[in-house]
Amino acid sequence: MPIIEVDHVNKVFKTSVRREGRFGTFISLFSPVTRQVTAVEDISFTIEKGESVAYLGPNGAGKSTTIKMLTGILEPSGGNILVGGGKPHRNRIHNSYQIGVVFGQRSQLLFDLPVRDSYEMLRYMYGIPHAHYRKNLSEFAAVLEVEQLLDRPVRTLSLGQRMRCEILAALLHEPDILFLDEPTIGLDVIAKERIRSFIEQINREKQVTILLTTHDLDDIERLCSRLMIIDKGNLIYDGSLGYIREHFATERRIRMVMPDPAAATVTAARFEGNADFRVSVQEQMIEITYDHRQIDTSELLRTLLSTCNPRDLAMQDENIEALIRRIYQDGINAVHQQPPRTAGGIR
Amino acid sequence: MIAPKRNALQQLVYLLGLYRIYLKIYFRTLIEYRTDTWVALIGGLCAQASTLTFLTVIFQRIPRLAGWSYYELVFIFGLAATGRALNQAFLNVPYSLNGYIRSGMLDVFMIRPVGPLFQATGMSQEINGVGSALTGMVILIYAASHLELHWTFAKGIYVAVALISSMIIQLAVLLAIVVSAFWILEIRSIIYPVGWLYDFTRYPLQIFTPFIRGLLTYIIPFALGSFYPAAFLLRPHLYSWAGLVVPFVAILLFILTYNLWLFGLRRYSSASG
Ligand SMILES: Nc1ncnc2c1ncn2[C@@H]1O[C@H](COP(=O)(O)OP(=O)(O)O)[C@@H](O)[C@H]1O
Ligand SMILES: [Mg+2]
Repeated sequence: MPIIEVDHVNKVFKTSVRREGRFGTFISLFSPVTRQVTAVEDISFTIEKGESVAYLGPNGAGKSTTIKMLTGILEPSGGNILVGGGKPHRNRIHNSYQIGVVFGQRSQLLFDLPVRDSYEMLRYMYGIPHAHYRKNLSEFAAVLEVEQLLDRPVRTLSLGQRMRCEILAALLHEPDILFLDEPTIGLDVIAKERIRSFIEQINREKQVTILLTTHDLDDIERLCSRLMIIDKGNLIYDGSLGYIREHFATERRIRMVMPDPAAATVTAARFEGNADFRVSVQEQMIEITYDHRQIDTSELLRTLLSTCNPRDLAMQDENIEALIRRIYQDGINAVHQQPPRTAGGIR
Repeated sequence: MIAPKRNALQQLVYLLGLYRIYLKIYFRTLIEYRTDTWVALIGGLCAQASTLTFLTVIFQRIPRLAGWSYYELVFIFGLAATGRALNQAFLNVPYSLNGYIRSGMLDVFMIRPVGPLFQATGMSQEINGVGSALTGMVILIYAASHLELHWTFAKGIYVAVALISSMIIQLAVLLAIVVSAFWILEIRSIIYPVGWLYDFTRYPLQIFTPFIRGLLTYIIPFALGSFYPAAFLLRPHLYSWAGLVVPFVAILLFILTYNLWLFGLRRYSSASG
């Protein structure tokens, strides 16, 4: 049985809009004007125990809203959510024992007190047996390298240090699932890497199921075999990053530097007529962009080299980051005309 | 981890233990901010003392007010002020809830294995209230020592019951307002004027118009936790009904408000971000 089941879930926010004018607030009391925002629309997926899943999407896509529903903070407006077999919103206390949550932009820790005091409070709250608590604290603190920080007030920590302490706080009660909402936001490269390697380790060694939201592709590359992309509340992709790279990153780029790029332009013109074939010249550099499924790379290279004599030549895959940005902007169909038949591809 | 099972008694002990931890946390925070703490504490004492000076001046000019003698007036004032201060010290959560919602702290409370209202209450102590409560009690004892109240053990218990009822009635009323204001009507500031209404109940209700009297007895029943219990202690034969009605109303209001809170929590839509 999957540990997380999300079945046709919607979330609609109703916000009341205050009326303009002097008596606006007063009038709104009696005839409120409401605006509806659909944050999540008909989303379905399941996650198996021990999986590590990245939830990717631009700002406002609905990532946090999904996490809040999975953690029991928000109730879905429609559809069904089961976490560990129960409805998170209906039984928050039961749910709290099986999940750990890290919000990149909120803190669990007591701001003015030493980090350890927050952990002690959590120990009592969850009723963690002393032996387990000591073992977990020393083990996680060692791996996260926060031993030196435990007696420092939270407000004196850097963002990266605090984040590591937050992750430790979320794991003290040994949850089965760890939700992380943008855990690496605002961190420098080294801090990000530390957090990634820790998450990877607890996923591998303790089979903690991971669901993390991010807009950082490196997080995914490093941590998650599975990627879900959400945009405007809709789940537009659920599959591997490799699959995206293989099937969607169809654009290749050849760059050549030569004294007379005009000659190459003439040669390249033979391939024109293909939809995605583009040539641009910039001083001594010529850049050719094409779809590797439509044009055979070796043939293109052979033709080019038979007439030109470049001083330098470089080939590039499409930048995956740019690709995903393109997926957000233009929808999945813009990057992939024929949907693949493989199961688990596009929704 | 699996949720530990607790029966009602164990749960009560667990929650008391947690509240103790919150007090410890608050105390340690106060030590971190020593200067602020002194300022708040002394501020509370001064505020109360200045009200008392004002009151002494007024009351000494009007030795009797609506049939109550000077010391009786001071007694009524003292009980009401103490109830208010204790509420502020330990159950200040209606005033801090707005901040917890905006900062997303309520979300954090909701992912933990304790009711979010309890956690929010535990994090909302106000040292200011401790200073005021001390002054309130001094006033109360000062007045009582000048009155022939024939103290018995039962009366002593009743003072405690009255103070706790007062705290709970204030909590219930203010929380009900906050919950409906946040989640039903979305006006946040209404809690302040309603809170101020409590100050009326530091004086004999007879001096007010029937409208205010009715308001503070039936609609926003702050008087049930302050004026009436004091009146019951001073004139038991005239206000005998207050003996049981006061704690009963406190419990009833709390149950109603707690359910309203649960309803509000279901409508809670978190803060963006
Ligand atoms: N509490 C809320 N009340 C009203 N609208 C909200 C609330 N939370 C989120 N939204 C809206 O829902 C959409 C999705 O938001 P969110 O889930 O926070 O996106 P993400 O985390 O992917 O950036 C946005 O349009 C946002 O403005
Ligand atoms: Mg978000």
